[in-house]
Amino acid sequence: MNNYPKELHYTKEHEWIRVDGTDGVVGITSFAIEQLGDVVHLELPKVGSKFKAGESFGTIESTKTVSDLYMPAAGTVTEVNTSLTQAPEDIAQDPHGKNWLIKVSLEGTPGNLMTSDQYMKYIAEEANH
Amino acid sequence: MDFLKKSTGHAVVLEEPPSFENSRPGAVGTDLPSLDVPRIDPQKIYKKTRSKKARLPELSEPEVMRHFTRMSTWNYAIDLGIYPLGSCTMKYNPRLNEEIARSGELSEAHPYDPIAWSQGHLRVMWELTEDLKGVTGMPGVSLQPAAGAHGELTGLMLVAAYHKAKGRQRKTILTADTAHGTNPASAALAGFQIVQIATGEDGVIHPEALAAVLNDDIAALMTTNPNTLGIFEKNIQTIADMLHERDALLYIDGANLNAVLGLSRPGDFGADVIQFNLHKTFSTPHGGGGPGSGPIAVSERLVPFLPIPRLEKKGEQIVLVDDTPQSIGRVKAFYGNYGMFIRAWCYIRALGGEGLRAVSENAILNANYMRSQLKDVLNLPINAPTLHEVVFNDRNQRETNLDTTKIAKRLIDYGMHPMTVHFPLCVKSAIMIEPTETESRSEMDRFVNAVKEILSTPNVEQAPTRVFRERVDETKAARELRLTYRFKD
Amino acid sequence: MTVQHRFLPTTPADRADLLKACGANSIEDLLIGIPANVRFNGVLPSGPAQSELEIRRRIRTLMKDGRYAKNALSFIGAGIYDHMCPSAVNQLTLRGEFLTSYTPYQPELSQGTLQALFEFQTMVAELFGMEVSNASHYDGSTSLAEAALMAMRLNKDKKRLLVSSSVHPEYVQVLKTYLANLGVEISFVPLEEGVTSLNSLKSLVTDEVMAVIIQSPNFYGCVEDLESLAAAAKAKGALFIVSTPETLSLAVLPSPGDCGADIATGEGQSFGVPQSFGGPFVGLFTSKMEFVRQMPGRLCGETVDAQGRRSYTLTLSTREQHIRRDKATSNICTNQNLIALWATIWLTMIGKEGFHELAVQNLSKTEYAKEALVATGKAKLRFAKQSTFNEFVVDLKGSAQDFFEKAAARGVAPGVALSRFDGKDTTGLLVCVTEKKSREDIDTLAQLLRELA
Repeated sequence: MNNYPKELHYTKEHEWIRVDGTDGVVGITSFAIEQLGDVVHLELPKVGSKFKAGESFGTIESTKTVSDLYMPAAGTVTEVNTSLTQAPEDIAQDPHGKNWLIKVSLEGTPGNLMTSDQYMKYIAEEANH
Repeated sequence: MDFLKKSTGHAVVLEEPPSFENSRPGAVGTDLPSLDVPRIDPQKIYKKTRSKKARLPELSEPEVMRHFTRMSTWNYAIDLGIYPLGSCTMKYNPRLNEEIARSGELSEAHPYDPIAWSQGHLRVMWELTEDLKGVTGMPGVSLQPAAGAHGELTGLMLVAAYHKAKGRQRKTILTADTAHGTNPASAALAGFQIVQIATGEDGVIHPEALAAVLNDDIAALMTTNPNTLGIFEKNIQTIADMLHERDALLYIDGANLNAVLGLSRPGDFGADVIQFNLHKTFSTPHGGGGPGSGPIAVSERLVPFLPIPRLEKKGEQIVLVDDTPQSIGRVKAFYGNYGMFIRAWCYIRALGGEGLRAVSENAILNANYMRSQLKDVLNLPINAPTLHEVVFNDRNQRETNLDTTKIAKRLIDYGMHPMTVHFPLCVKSAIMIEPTETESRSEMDRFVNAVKEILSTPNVEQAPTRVFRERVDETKAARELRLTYRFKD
Repeated sequence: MTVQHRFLPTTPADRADLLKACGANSIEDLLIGIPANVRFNGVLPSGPAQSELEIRRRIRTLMKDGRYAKNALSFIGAGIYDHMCPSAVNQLTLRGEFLTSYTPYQPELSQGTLQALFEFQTMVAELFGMEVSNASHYDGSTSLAEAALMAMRLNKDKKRLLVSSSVHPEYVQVLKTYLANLGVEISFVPLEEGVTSLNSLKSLVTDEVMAVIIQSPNFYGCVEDLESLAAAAKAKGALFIVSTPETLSLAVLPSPGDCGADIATGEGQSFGVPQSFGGPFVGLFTSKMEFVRQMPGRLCGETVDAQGRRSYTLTLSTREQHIRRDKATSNICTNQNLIALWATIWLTMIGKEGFHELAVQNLSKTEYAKEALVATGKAKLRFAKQSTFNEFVVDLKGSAQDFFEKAAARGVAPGVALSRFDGKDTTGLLVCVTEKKSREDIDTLAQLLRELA
């Protein structure tokens, strides 16, 4: 049922990034959302905030847990999906598309990310744990 | 479903709205004394007064009695039956202790009363201090912290002060993966960072695992003993020695002290600090979530840093002193949750030294009985000697429709409180049972029979249903956040 | 041989059965998990077991010189206030369903505790004029310290904290201890005529200040001008934190919320909770809805059950230690639930009009006491210009501690000698008069001043 688009790149912490030149769009995967359960709150950074790759840029909160969101690549936030912060429960629908989290202006080329095939293999192993 | 049919299902449980909805102008719940001095209008005294009276309810005395009595019938309690929450030590609360603590003799005193009037209270504190030294074999005690987590914070502040006095700053506290959530939270609040050690397959910390992370930045290792799997940390002496060799300290979380009264003393294996939870081990009532009391005991190394004020004997008198320059200061106004000290003091007097040991022996026997009765139906992930609590998981139920949460929720329909679930975190879908020493065999059997019946009828959905309120919608609560009553006006 | 005891239901015959079920011959067989080198083989030094009768007798003997046995009269306040309490409050909190239940983590089995907490949060938020209240802290001193920690989270880049010199000295000590390892610099705002100096605050507050802490009524009993102080704090982006140890004063004074507080804390002991030699009490903590995710402690929220009926549950627990661990907003776990219930029942019984009337009685008796004490010629009001609630400072001609001791010998605690907190303050006596003091009691104190001071 899960569909992980080929054009995205994935992290072990279950974020994805869509790269277009020096612009990037960041979200979290449907697998992560299933693990979290009902999402009740999103804490996202202000436009203009700068992060290193792997740095926490916000949190996603369900009734059971809060998880940090990690930057797949270094960059500066250019846009925040404010319609999502107002209705965080919507993230369960189309998390790889219209319900992205932030847009960033990238610094350099992102490295150390998984392809969709690698990511699907990775989460299959995670689920078996 | 025979067992379920046998429970009554006929309780008189009534609806009762929030008090604000029954409020009527003119209803009076209490009479005030008549004023025997000239009445002063607040507006004559203050430049500005409160703009609008606070919307407190208006109800008569019998209505208030009913309001809260009806609400009380919606609660489960240790007075009703077994409350096998692992690591919470829900034992019987003797009522003499309640009567004495609430009597005017004890409850009307003020901490700033003349010292001569306070001698009895200070004597109770002194004797409790000696009791706690005896239980731990440790030389210093402070009764000041208000709860277990507060004791943890205080203990870790002592650890920080110890290293600071040696002219260094150590930033890291080691914890085990069996630790309570309060441990890392307390460490962070005391300014430390956390490094977690994984326990071995036998459920305890191994010296090799410690050696791999031990360095000169480690301020202390913090671990519960016996740990939250109900297993005694058998390498604790070696661990203590390894830590002390690096001048790092050993913090023992005393949450599970109910297992070792008179059987093992942390001071004997070199513990440097331990917090007590008087509301667990020493039976002061949980009160639906407090008040607790979290005294600490410390080794000689940490005595100079204990909070102020401290109890001291000056001839025949007991006094409070605060002239210890290395003290971390105060962690709470006044002297601690004194009302809880009295209850714990009464409890210890009622049992005596031998009785305290009998408490732990019976607690261990009961936990082992639970283990013996459930080990064939639930999976025991770690097969090590059980002390006061036993941890299973739902592995045997993977092929059925049941899991840990469902088992817990269905137990409610059998008229009993579930065990702790999904903790400790090192066991996936943990089922953690601590019966305590105050459960009889027949009450334990009631629990065991209920669990067995649930496991043999896996396809019941929708529990609990035989309760005042069924499953509550926690998602709605978190999304809509109604944290106060919405008044109509 | 395990001893038998009234707290332990297992009989010797039961024990034999249970051991058999465990496959053990004796308790000793079950202790093999404790290594021999760390076994304790002695007897704990807590003496022999005592019967109820013996314990009662011992307590009576120990308490023979206490204030109760002496039927003493006291004018001590200083953070703990002797207010009336209807009998029903004590009786209701003795119900086992409230007294012997655990923290309401299983909402289906704890709706009674949860609805009481919801009512508590509502009343506390209402009294403070704030949007949201949590479900309790250990006491007023620790809730103030947690307010400072919350201000650190909200103003992450700022490192300075300003505290008025009129905050209860023991609250200040707790604040210092809590912040000792967290890299915060505390400075104190001096007083002018017994209240926080507005001009000094204006000159001390800078963009670096995370928060300003003010107590009102302050330690000397004086009412602070919260509105002006809040404006000064906010002009530089500092959060405004109010501490109110005497919460009965909220009946007549403008609420902290109305004065601009971002966080308002207090002590719920004033709601009829016994003085109990200093505890257990209940810390109050209120704030604004926009900061709710940075609040420490438990929160109870309204929701519905599977049948759509109004229900309650602990909520936003993802802020708390059992989920968030080292990133939690606080390490607090067990807090003061039963005392929060006590306060809730007390407020419900005293009611809307009673709460106001009680405050007016405190104010009236305090004004009467000021006049009566000054009329003796032995005492002068230290801060005559300031308005107070139920506590005030008088200066005696000689040592206040001497008078305290002489009066104590006559069965009266006349207040707190301020030398207890500041050795240089030899003449100050902090006097508290609540509704429980009759006119005759106040006249007795005045007479003692005439005779002994």
